[in-house]
Amino acid sequence: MTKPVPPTSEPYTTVIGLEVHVQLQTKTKLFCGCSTTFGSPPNTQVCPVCLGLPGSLPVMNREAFTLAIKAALALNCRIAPFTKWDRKNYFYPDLPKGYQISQFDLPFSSDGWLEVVDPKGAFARRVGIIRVHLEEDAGKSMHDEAAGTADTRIDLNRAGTPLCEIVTQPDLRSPQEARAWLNELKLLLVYLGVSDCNMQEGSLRVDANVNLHIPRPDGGVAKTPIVEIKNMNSFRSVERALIYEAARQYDEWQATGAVLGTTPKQTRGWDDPAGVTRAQRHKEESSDYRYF
Amino acid sequence: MQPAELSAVELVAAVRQGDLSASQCTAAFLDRIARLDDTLNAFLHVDREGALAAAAAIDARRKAGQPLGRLAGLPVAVKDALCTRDLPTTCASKMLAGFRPPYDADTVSRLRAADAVIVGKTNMDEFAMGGSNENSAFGPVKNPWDLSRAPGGSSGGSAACVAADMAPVAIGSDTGGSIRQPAGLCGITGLKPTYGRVSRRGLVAFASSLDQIGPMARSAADCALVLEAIAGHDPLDSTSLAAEVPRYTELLEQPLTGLRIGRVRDHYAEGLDPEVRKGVDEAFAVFEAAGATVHDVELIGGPVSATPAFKLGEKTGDPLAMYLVDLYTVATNLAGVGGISFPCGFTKGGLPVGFQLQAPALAEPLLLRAADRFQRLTDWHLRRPKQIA
Repeated sequence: MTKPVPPTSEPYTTVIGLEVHVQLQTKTKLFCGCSTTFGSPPNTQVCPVCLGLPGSLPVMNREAFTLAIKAALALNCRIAPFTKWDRKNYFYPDLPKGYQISQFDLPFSSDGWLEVVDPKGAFARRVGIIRVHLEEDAGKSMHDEAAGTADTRIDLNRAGTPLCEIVTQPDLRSPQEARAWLNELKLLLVYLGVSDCNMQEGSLRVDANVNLHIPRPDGGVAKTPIVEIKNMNSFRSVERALIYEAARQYDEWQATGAVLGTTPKQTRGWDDPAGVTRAQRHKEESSDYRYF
Repeated sequence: MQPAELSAVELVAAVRQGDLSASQCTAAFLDRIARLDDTLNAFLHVDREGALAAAAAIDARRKAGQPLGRLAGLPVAVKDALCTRDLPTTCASKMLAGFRPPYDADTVSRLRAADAVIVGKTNMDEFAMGGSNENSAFGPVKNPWDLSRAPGGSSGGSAACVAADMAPVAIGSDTGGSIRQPAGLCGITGLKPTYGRVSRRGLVAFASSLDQIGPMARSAADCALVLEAIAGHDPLDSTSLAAEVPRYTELLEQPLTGLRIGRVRDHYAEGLDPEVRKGVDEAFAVFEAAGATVHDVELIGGPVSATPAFKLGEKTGDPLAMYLVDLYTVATNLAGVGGISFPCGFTKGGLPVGFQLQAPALAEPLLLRAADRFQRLTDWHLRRPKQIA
């Protein structure tokens, strides 16, 4: 019973796509036998493989792949007959190898969908899923900002934890719908035992891509530049951030007239206490990661 | 008889029979290292204390009547690209200075489990990237046959230390010829096994799809002895083969009658040194005398490198010439099969000429048997460099 998007009160349509990372509920990491238990003392769940020591080799976790397939099937994805790993190269202190083992051009699944019920419970809409792929998590950097000593400490317990990345089509049409869809996704993944989806412990993380389609008097549509929003720590903050960002983009468009393609893609971080998004670093292009 | 004059097979037998203690054997090679390596620079690290302690423990166990591993008391030098627990592992790079891995490479674990004695870590081209050893951050290795020449690379330290009898056996790694080419230029025998035959876990990667660890020794029989100990499935290396490990040492006895050895016409193109060509042609004649016929199947034979050992510095300014040092060996790695090189003659100037055999996947028994038969009919592999006493 998929139906068209209902008209909204705003003078624009909000277009949203989500990138969701969920940690898989395996006992051990994706490429080594270290425990994935949350909250252990720093750097006590590490070995030559997840520390990226010279000479170490990855051996894939069968259970992680089983859980990932389960998630992909539940999301109505096509399972690829052939899939492969890729190295995503970037240099950050919590990524000991200097690359993340991820999937680039041949993910293990793609072309799925998950329905979301309209917040009023009136009808369901299909939200397309571009791909679900497997990758390893990075470690954690802890910045000692309060002390003013500029120390950063690294905990690599999380490095190598299996992640599923779920990327939707830009099919969501309101912040409320995005939140409702995330709830559906969480219910499904928790029910299947794929992930505990605990956002406080970081086992589910969401980034949102958003822009506006604004009807013009001439019958055309003005599309605002796509912004990626990061650092949202609850489904409620996803909704709040998207509401804020849509309003901000409309104001900016009215002030500058900037449209998609005239500026590079921007990443903005959600500042929850302040209730605003703030510009972050320039977003890497795929080629910056020198995948191979 | 001095331990340095014995083969690995003889040393292991002597220790097992009690004619030679592991401690005496180890000390004899350590003494040669101490005496010669200032000249040759084949070692980046010598673990005198650890080696003597390991040897003493083996002697004590022998005295107590406990069982010993198949390489008991055999000194082995390990290329510095393999991780050794608590021992420096630098890949001949200053980037890894101070790195003491918390784990042993699978090959090193197997050597220790077989009661081999690790005497030290050998020099190499930095991160195995090179074919002359001149890329080492710690200075080049000298070729024991002519100190003004390169030992080849990247396992040049391993090749030179065997050629100079500083260790009866060394471990190398081969990505495009890095075992066979230095073995050829230093007049020793070197085996690049089939991809996956020996675990790569703990080998600092150069090209993960091509890298393979293998033995370097005076003879094919010695290589067979060591391969038996280091080959085998490692569940922690996903590319490691599950195939059973043959008793290579026992399979050497079968004659070569009926074996067909192929000759690659392209290997006789421009650039092949006439003295290398002569040595290779004579080697084919030896195989024919042993009952093999020269055709185009089963085994492929030919030179290891187009020239004998070149002068240090001769090619460092010419990257293209340096690339060509792997010309005859790299195809083995791309195909993932095995190859062996061994000495088949000497130039008038006294430099070793190497012969290479390549075989289908997992045909190590055939490679070792063919090279061993050749070495029963010739004595090139027993010659020692005169510049090194």
